Amino acid sequence: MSDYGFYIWASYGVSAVVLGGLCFFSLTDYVRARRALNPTEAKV
Amino acid sequence: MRIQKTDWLHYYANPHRFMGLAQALFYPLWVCAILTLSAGLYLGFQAPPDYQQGETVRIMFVHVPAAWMALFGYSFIAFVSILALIFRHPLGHLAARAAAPIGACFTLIALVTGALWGQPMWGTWWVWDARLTSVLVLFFVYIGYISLWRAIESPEKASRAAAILAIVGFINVPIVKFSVDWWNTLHQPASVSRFARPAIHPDILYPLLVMGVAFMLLFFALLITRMQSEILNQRARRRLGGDL
Repeated sequence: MSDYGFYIWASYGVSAVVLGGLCFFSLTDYVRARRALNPTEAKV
Repeated sequence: MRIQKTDWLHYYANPHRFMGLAQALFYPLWVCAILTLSAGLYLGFQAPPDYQQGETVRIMFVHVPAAWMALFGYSFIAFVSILALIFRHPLGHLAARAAAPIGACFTLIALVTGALWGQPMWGTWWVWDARLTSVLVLFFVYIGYISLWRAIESPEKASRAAAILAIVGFINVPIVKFSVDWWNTLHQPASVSRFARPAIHPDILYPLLVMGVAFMLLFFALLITRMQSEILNQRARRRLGGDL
């Protein structure tokens, strides 16, 4: 893997950042929306 | 209550019923997505190197499922836009809007990982090949769709304009899919969908399929999360409007 390590890890890294970011923002939006509707709810 | 076969789609048109279903699916979908993704990554790194691509075949375990999801995401948006526009399904526009950033992210991943595979294998990051160019156009259509929602203030007008763009933009999906057959491209033709005799060895095919299932589960986990957020935000806005 040493010859192509950069390309392989860059591919997985970019995918992790893009999908991780999307999951993070989607889940924080969801928790925020639940809290906005009911402040006693979703105290994670 | 028994639901007639033809009515199941409109049964969940009621946001309260949809929220009940979404709440029930929320944790199972996220857990299944994370477990399948872990299994896919494990199988991908255990797979032997390809006889032609060597170790770079591991990029395919992300690139190919991401490209599948880019096409599936847009097809989903076009389908729910038709439901919303023609059959006036109340959750159609909501589902389309929620799916757009997910599809755009998968398209971006397909483009970037494709470039990262192309440099060691083709000797170039990018070529203006029919497949690559049509996927880039798909990414711009996603961006245009998301921008259109944000550009128009009235939600009714925005949803109608976005649905028309989604349906018109669907023309690009078969162009992406069949570009490798219609034109002479550097990008290789389909090799997984030939189920009669797949051109890929099972050691490479199985991790690819597991990653495909993982990305599909992740798509739906993200979709129901984003749809629930939007419904909850609408309720909060209505409640705030009632209080004022």
